[in-house]
Amino acid sequence: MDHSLATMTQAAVAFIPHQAMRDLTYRFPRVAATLWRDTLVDAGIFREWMMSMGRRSAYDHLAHLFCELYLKQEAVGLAGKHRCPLPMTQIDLADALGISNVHTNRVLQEMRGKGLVTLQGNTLVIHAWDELIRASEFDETYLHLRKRAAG
Amino acid sequence: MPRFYFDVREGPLFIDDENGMEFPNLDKAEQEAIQAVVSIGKDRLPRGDTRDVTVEVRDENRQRVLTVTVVLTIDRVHPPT
Repeated sequence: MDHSLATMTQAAVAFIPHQAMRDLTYRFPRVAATLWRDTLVDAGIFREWMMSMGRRSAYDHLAHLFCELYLKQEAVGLAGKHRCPLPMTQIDLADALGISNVHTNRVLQEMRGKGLVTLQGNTLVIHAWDELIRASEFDETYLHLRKRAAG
Repeated sequence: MPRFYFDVREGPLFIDDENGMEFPNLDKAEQEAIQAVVSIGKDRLPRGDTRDVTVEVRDENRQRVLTVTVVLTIDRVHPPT
C-alpha cells in the first residue's frame, strides 16, 4: 500500500484476503454496491479535506471536522444529543489539522468563548449545532447519510 | 523537560494559555511560537481588524522569556497627478 493505517484507540483488526473480498462481491451485489458507496464517501471526505487545507481557516477547518466526526458517529449509534466521543488530545487535533498546538488552543478557546463547543475529557459537546454548521459552511451531502430516491 | 506557556495577543484580544507545553529547550519553544504566530497571522490578518499578532512565551515561573510578533504593514502610494 502507498500509506499506513493506525487507530487512536484499542481496536480489533482483521485482514481479509483479496480473493475472499472478490468472491463476496461477486455473490452479493448489494455488498459490492455498499463498498462502492463507501469509496464514494471516502472521496467526498478527501475533497472536503482538500478544501479545508487549501481554503478554510483553522477555525472553519476544525468546526467542519467536528460536524463530520459527530454525524459519522451519530449515524452508527455512537453519538447523540450533540455529544460524541473524541478520544484525541489537543496535540493530536493540531497534528491532524497541520497547525501548531498553540493555534489549536486559540481556536478551541474562541469556539468555547462563542458557546459553540467544549471538549470535556474525551467528549466533544456541541452547544450550538446550527451555528457550528453555519460557521464551517458544512453540507452533509458528501457523507451520503440520507437515503435518496434513485435519480 | 521544561514547560512553556504560549499566550496569544491579537490587537486588544488576549488568549491565555492555561496548560502550557513541554519542550527540551527555549530554541524548540521558539520554533513552536514562530509556527503559531505565522499560522494565526495567516488566518487573522486578512480579516482587517488586527494588524499584529504576538505570541508571548512564559517559562515555568510564569516569567516572559520570548515574544514573537508578525505585523501587517500597508503603504498605499498615491500616483503623482
